[in-house]
Amino acid sequence: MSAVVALLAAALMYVIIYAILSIGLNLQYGVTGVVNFTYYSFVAIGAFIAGVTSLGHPPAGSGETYILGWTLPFPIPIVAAAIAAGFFGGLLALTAFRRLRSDYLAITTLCAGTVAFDIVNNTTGLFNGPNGIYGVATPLSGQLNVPPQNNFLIMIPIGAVLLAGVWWLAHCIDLSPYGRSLRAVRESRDAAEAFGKDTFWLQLKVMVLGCVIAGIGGALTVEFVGAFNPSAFETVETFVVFSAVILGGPGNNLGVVLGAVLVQGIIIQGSLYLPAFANQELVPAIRNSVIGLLVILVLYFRPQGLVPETRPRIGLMRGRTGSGHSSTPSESAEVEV
Amino acid sequence: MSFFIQAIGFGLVTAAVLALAGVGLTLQFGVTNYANFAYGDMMTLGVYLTWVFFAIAHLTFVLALLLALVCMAAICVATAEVIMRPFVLRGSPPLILLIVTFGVSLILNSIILAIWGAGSEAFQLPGTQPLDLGPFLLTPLQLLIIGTSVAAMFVVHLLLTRTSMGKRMRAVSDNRELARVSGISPTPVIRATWALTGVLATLGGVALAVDASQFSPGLGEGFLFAIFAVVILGGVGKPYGAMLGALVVGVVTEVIGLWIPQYKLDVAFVVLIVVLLFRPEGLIRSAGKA
Repeated sequence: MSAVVALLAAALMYVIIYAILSIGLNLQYGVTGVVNFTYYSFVAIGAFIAGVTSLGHPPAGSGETYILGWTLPFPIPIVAAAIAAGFFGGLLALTAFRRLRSDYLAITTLCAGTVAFDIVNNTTGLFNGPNGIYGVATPLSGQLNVPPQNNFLIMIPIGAVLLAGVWWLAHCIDLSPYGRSLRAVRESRDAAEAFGKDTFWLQLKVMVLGCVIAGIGGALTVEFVGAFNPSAFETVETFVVFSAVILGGPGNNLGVVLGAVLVQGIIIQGSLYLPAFANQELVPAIRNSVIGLLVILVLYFRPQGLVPETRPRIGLMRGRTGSGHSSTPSESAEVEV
Repeated sequence: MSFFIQAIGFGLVTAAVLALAGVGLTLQFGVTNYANFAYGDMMTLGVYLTWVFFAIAHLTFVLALLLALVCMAAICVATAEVIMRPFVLRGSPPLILLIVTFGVSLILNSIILAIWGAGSEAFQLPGTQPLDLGPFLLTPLQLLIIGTSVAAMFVVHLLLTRTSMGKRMRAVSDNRELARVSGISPTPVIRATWALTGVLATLGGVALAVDASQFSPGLGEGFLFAIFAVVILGGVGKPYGAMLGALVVGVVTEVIGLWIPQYKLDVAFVVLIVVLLFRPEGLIRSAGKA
């Protein structure tokens, strides 16, 4: 009984983390149209920073080496993770958004991700090289006297609160003039510029914001799992978050959370219970092909995703033409088109 | 000093690999007008096919490579026809096409992992003893890589300048609409480009695998960013630019690699960023795509 509960709770925790990540990526890709193909690198930055700011110095003779080695109390490591991820997101944006076409930008982010992986993997003094960091304790587990195998009792409430906060933030952005400016950048950067929007700053801010959310997701991951190493942030991980956003409905928070439930909760967690074959890579390979194929099919047959984006501005226009105020029939006909 | 000159020698080998792969990628990017993130996995698949024909079917290396080239040309054309073409016909924006190629990359990589597992393989070719060639110290295999690359570049040059299809490729790459109103149908040109891309990706991949003396399913993906650096340095859609870019990136990475060997390929990323910030049209200044 308890084993089943623990498995379900772990699945729920992963879904919560993925929902947070999907909302962050949705701000960048779904709302603003910024293709950040190394989103997961910022999750990794968050995970590593949350680890090294709570682990303390590596035990003598363990052979582990990593920076900082602080023991900061909860929730400071999560805040530090968010700040670090946001900082590097801003740094990438500063170089990449200067004057790049969207496909050059995508190439730059992909390349930056490969290089980040190389640096973390090859520099043992940074985050302990390829072995990564491990033994990260669940926050408050000492005070609340919760054994490690039941750490979901602590992590699920923390994750749920953060998910609610992130959702609320994204919702407020959706309704704000800032959110409408971001959508304008997505629809046409030139048109947004023509209306006096500083598209560089709009994109920079949304890049930082999305990466801050990625950092929070990374911090939750390392505090829940207890370990993080470079093999956990290869390019495929970013694609999995993309798949949640694309399947769920880019630009719609409810949609992308639903996408996270579908991809993480059903496809990934479900595939853990498939029997293993002689070739250990077979089950994850089939799972990844299914995800890749689903994304391609959804992009073709239902590009708006499961829950399409709601467009408040169309409603506004309809309302205005409906009132008949200062609009001729020919104008309202144009709006209908 | 001799270390420095030797590093330039290794740089020429890396440049040869990058030129093969870079020309394939830049031709396709130019003609189809979208970047292809599955290119690294196409290289890897070409390597595994060559390896199957060579090490498992026991064919000679040249025959195995030729067979793999034909297979990869067909696989690339099929991928473009079945997966990419519907999106292009519908007029999907480049952003969506990019994500589709990302999906193709995941599928190809998964197929490789499912069939051959995650371990490393090697071709076990003779000719790994270094030869003393004046200031350079290169193995016969590395010389073969340079020779193959130079020969392939020459063939690509003849193809683009002497054949009707090559001229049409250049026309479509320069300006598809202008080519269309001049009576060039883009569809056969795009198919031929994908076939050529498959051939060059496989040649580049096999050269990379032979130079590194072993390979695993991550071979092409880990190298892709250096190839993109070459393509953007040379200017998208410009094969001669890519050849020059390969020479620059190859030599620069190997020479700087003398001081920071474990990060030598990452130098390519620095090159990429500098080019994108200061000269996004590439080394050769002309009306490009950037």
